[in-house]
Amino acid sequence: MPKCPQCDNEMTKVDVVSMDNAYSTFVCGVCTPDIIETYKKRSEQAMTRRLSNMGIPRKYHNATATLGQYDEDCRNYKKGIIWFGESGSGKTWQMVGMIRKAITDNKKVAYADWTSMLCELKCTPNEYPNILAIPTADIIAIDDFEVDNGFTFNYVYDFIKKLYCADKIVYMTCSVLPAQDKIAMRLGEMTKQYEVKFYDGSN
Amino acid sequence: MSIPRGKKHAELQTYLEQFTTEELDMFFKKLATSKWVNNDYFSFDRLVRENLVASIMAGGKQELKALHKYYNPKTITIVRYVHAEMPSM
Repeated sequence: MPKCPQCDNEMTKVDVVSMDNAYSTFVCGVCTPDIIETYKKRSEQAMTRRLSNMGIPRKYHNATATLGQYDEDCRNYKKGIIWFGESGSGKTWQMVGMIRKAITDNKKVAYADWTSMLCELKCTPNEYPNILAIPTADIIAIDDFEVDNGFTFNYVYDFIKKLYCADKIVYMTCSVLPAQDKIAMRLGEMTKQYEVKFYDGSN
Repeated sequence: MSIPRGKKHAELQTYLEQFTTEELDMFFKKLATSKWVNNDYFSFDRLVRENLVASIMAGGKQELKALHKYYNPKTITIVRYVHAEMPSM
């Protein structure tokens, strides 16, 4: 750690998040005792606003991911992640925890609630290019993904194919891993898959 | 439970074609011992609509891996003390 040029004490590393950026800086907690708390408070406010702007529900804004359980490729944004498992097991919590980490590491993230997108698609399929447009973000996070075998299948497959060809990092939650061959092949290559189970002391 | 006809029959056929014979054999074995066999809401329509082959097969990691050669899932456990007290160290 670098030393403060004024008091020669070791400085503290602080992660700073703003509305369009994120970076690390070193501050002296001795010369400016309140500065670390100020940075943390402002960063948390910016993080909350960014998560809100993305459409992530407020109940997940304090989410944390258990980073030690993920492969290095996932922690280093080389591979996407699929979380699957029962309702209430903690999939979205883990995903938003990873989104928070990605924002802190200055990654651009786009979030979508798949159920809402699919409803929109079923109501106005001719709006498909807008509804399923690929965002320019580094990471695309899709909550509650599912593939039905109805008329939307081809749209969904086309969307996944575009994500695959664009080499996007994809975060996804779903109750079961998609079984359709063409989609499974691409998601299997793009992501590491984690079945989420929770332990509450009684199970 | 009756076999669907017409368009629903075609949808069921298309859906089942994506699985190999071995996978379907494993699925029917698992179905026979699963909660679905006594569930009034189980139907072929629901089988297709909710991709129940994958759900029922996903009972264990071995079966899940057998279902799809493209996935290599791991399990992560989240500790959540909601009702029980935190254990003492």
